Amino acid sequence: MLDTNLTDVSLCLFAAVFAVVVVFNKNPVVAAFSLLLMFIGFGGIYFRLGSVFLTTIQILVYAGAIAILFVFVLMLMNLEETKTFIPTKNFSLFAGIVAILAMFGILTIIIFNNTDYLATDKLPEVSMNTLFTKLFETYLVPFELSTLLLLGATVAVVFISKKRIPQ
Amino acid sequence: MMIYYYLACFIFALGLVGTLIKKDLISILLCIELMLTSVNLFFALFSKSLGSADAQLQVFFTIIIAAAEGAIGISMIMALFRKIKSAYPDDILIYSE
Repeated sequence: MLDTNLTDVSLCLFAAVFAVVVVFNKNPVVAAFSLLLMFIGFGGIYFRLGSVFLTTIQILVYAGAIAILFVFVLMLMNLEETKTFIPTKNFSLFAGIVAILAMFGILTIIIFNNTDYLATDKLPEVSMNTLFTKLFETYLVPFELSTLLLLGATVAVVFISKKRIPQ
Repeated sequence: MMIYYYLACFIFALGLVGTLIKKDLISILLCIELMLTSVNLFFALFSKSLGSADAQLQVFFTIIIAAAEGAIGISMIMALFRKIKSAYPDDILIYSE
């Protein structure tokens, strides 16, 4: 069983603070940049869990591609700051806080009841060799299907965002 | 290590609430990414506690799907923005009436 130390706590605080900024911020550009920082914090968490593969994927794909895509689009769109967040009724904010607490409470109770099972570290760390052997043997068909999915997504993006020529 | 489970719970709840209370489409998409990321963290933690590689490969596939979803979602929002000059779901309702 791994003990929680200062590194874990500071990584968690880093990620949690930027996640809160993503939700409770009026400026979408600030939200996108804090999402980027949260992804980098998650990369640190994956590294702490001993998975170099996930750290690399997280930093390259999530922080490097998805978050930057959001920032680019926000720069193109130039949204108004004040309209982003719902401040009109206090009721919705209250309902939001109640929903956070309820959801967090339910999930926390589930995890708290299974602590013994979840906090164990049964087997030695998964090496890159076993990981990729599994990826290209057991998961070969899903891997190929995911490349098809990405190709389809590329074609769909080009089709959606091109200008329609009136006939 | 248990603290990461609570972090993942917290971020999932935060993303759900953000999806419900945010007003513009880009911020809603950001909150959906938040939820997806927290589920990835759950998978990584399960991989650690069970000592198996399968959960890490699940994270790999989830990230691929998240990338495709983000790209298509953003291009749909951009197409909508070009048409009605707005990225707020409330304005779409007005436009369709």
